[in-house]
Amino acid sequence: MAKVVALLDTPSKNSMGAVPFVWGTENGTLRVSGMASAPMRTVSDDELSDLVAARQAMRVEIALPKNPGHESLVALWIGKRFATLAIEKGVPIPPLPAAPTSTEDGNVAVTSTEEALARLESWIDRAFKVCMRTTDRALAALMAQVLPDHDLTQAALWKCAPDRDKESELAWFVRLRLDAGEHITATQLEKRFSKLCGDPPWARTKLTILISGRSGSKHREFAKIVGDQLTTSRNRKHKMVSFGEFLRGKFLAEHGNAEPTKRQLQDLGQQYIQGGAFSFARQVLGKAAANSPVLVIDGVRHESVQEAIEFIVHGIPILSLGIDASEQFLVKNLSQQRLGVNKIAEIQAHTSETEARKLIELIPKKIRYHTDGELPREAQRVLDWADGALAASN
Amino acid sequence: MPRRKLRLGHAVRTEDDDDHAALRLALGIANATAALEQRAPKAASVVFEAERILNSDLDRPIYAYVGALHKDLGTVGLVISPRWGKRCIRSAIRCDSGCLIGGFGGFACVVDREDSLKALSYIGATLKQWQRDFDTEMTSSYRIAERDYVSGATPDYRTLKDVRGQCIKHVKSISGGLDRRLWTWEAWLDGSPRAGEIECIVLSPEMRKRLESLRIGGLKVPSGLRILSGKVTSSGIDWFNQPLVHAAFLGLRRWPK
Repeated sequence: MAKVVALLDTPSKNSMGAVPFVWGTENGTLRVSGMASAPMRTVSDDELSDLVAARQAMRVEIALPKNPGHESLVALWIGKRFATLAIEKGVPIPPLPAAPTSTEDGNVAVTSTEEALARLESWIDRAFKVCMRTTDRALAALMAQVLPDHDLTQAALWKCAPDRDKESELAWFVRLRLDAGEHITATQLEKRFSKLCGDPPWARTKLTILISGRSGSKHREFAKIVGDQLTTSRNRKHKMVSFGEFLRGKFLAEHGNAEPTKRQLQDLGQQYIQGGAFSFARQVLGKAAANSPVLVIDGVRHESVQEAIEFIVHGIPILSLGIDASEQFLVKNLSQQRLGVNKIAEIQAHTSETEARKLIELIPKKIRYHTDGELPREAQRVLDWADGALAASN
Repeated sequence: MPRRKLRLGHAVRTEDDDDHAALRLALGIANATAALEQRAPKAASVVFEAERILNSDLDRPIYAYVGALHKDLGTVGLVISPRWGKRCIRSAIRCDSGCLIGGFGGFACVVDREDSLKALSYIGATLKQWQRDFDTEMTSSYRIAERDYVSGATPDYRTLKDVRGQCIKHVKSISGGLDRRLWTWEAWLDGSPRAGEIECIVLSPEMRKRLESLRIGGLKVPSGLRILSGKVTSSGIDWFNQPLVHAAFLGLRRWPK
């Protein structure tokens, strides 16, 4: 079996990040994974030993479920000291995407580059929000051990610096940006930082409503009714995002005007899940979602995605709802979409459907309807729950 | 675009237990508080053999590449002004001397390695020709001269009238992987670069974090030193091999359009 034999760039116990790794194939060839410009570069034993001796690589042993091939996989690293400090500062680390391997200085798991980046950025978002509340410079310094050149990291370091150091802090970041080819002045950067500090991600969101339902349960229609009633009956501004609509948009972008079948959407969704739950969730939530007072998220079908969303919006009350529709109701609605018995059976046997079923079972708050006419009534219950959750958080 | 005089590249390496050591050394050189020294080679026998062939009586040199950073998986690199070369160069070689003598990679097909090394080297009386010959090679063997060279493009082997051309042809004929050390020029230097000659420090993403940690702890980063660091993007991670670093070897702030 292929295995990771070394981490490049020697991550430290004080950092969290994504690093390239060296993996050994069954025939003994060593290859690098995660370097953008050299995805299949080989490394000799001597070269690797030399890197290890110079502390530019770290030997590990991690089993790989499959050969990385041309896929861009990296090692997601969480330094042990970093993890301890992060917990102390009230911003726990994100979960690792696979069973981690523990080393003396940290825990490591292999994942796609997009997923690693999504988890790091999700942590940065959360840390930034806390920083804005506490102006804790030590937490800002911890952010610099994750993504030091991220806008939010630099804005946090600037914001949390003592007044006498703010100017020099800004000058340092301007210098780095100019060095990296960005045209920016201190005034422009200060303006950008001020804007970020005044409007941290998720700071304006007061409630998140997650809706999970199986194919044919009309969960999308139900989510829309909930959204409409939030506006008409509660006068609450909301934003709705949908995993199904996201996938549909992606499919159409790739295939022109050919409307996807349910099965195609299920397959595409599984591809995104395999790419990583955080990456999938962040893409669906998008930036716009981060600042709406109430966020309605339709079509959550996997526990891993639910966990990712819970991590991303941490601190905001979450109302998680599972649509517990009868089999008869599901089949009737799928039939109305001109799907035959075999197709319906195929849809219901799909992994994403099995995952949705498992997730719905875990959700305590159930929505139950047997006819279309019952949807508004159930939506009204959701609004009552939402009122309760908002009142409790206030 | 006018011809550019290429900078020298040196990947800093230490074997200190402190994993900030390479970074501290690089910053120390840029701050005139430390000096680059000869380092013990990993493949000692071939390196010493190459040094014996070219200069048996002299102290060991400091190694650099013309327009490249190697080891390319290292974590701290220096881009150094051509003034260092002018001041300290002892020898220039048209390829990686250790790889040639060791018959590593694409050099495996070379039979008479000692003679080949001598033929590819500039030393003593021939040293003053190296820059002119390097410039000629840039225009004759690359589509866009120095720009192609610094970004690692393979030269047109038909124009390389020496063992390197034969090696590239051979590797291509067996569809093998090409290592740029086959054609990247090496410089041997007597003495460390001066602080003012360090134009740029290139850091891997994890080294960039260590720099930030030192800075927050009060370290003064030398002013005037350009800092380039690797980044994690959705397509992967890169540090030494990125357009900004290639541009820095041309003495530019940005990769030319």
